[in-house]
Amino acid sequence: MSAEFRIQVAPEVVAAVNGEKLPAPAVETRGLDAWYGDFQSLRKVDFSAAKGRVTAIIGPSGCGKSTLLRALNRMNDLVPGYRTSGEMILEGSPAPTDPAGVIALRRRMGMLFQRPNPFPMSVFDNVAYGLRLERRWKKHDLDEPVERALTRAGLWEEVKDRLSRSALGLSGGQQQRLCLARSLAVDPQVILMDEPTSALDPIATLRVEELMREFRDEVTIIIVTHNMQQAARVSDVTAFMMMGAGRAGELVEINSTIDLFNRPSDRRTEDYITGRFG
Amino acid sequence: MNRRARVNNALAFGLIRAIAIVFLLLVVYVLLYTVVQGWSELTRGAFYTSPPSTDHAGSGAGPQIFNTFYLLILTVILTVPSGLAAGIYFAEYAGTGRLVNAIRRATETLATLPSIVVGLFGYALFVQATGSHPSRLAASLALTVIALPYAVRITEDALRSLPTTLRESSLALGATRWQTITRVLLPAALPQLVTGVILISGRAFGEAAAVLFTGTVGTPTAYANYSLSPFLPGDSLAVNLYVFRSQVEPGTVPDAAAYADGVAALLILLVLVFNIAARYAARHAVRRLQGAI
Repeated sequence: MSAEFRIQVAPEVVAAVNGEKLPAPAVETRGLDAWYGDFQSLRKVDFSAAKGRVTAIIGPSGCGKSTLLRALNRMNDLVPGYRTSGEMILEGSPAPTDPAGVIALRRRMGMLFQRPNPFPMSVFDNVAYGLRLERRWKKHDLDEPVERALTRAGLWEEVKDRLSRSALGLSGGQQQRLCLARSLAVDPQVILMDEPTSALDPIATLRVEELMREFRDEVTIIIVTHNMQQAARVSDVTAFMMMGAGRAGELVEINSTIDLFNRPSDRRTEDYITGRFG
Repeated sequence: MNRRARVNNALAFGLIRAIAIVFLLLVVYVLLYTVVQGWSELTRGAFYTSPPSTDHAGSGAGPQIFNTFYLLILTVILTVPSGLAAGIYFAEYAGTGRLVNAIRRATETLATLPSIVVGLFGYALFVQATGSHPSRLAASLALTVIALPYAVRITEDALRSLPTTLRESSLALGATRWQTITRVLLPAALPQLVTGVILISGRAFGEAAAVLFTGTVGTPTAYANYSLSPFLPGDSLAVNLYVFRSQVEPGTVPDAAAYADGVAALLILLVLVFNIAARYAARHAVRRLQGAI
């Protein structure tokens, strides 16, 4: 395979690939199939995301990237006619499928959406939302975890004087980091990101990408992106998906980001990253 | 843009604006005309405190003001919980089964019933079938029959118009559906829900036909009680207006027409004040729930 297509990869990612082995997977799927009614959206997907690392999912539109992501926290279960088969493994044990188990699973997996979507309530109430779902809190006891989550999301300094004002008054980039803080408040092990920066300007995008790198070792991140540069900048591992027969999404290749971009092992991956397809 | 498109654009815009202005003028005219006509009554103190009389001049509308608010509050208490529940069911749980569609169509049909029919139906069901007499409770139940389909529809539409991502981001944090509805969706839909309550209240304020059969005995009896009992009969301002404008003999109550004008003016002003107050209260509640921008 040719290596003419070179792409800039974050230095610590290079170091990681050269120096250390990937940690064990936090999330895995084996032979995952998914259907919307009669339409098969995913076929036999074997995906894994190493614990404490960033895994990017790239591929052309309609290849099932978001379906795979939303299968992991069972968000797709809300879609009428959706069903799956195959295995989903969380930290080595099968993921729960019963309603109470799914709720517990979602608490362990935060999610960031394409558009920032803070709740129409105050900044404070947004961050405290997840905590208040489990039990009643005295307002005072929430101050510390809310501040901690906002600090981790790099937002504390910007909002500490307007905690009681509406979250909708924040800028788009701030809103997205607020959504990140909202997820972080319940201490998730995994954060799923569905094109989290596609509605943000370049500077806000950079802030979110920096944060993703700061969470290394603490949180497992799985990010769907249609921006290959972004995948290269932020991820340790990249999965490439494409539509196969019958337009069902298939996982073509999953490898360390540096290898996937520089030494793709599949012809289709190479075509896609060099721009011959897509 | 070519000339033709520009001219059409200007024409369309001009026409729409003219229509809007006509409607505004109409509202202002009705309001002013009614208030001017009823002014002499509105400025007479006894008008607000005395009971109405069907055999001499100098009627007041005190008990009717009380009773109008009584019916309004009782109707809202009866309508809002059930309307919310049904609207939440349709928007969040029901899906599109055959039975669900039948229920939805039945609700819409209910909304198109003429209020005089609801009044007669209410009389048959809440008064005759229960072997009782017309009462405030029966009147409020009839008003609920009128208001409920609107309450259901407004709740359903308000919830459906919220972005899906609100629902999803709550569920993604591990919230149950019920937590999502009560903690995110209903507060987010509050402005629309308040508008709904105001619309329903407007109906309850102004409804005469339904109350005529279910709340009064249908003759020009002037009710004069301030009791809180829901089992006593009582007429609202709207019924009183109808009775004094069309049922009372001019010979026995010489000022009946002037009195009716006063009642009409009072009714329209109360609706106006109620609307403004409800909006103000809603804005306050929204700020508390959602935080100031």
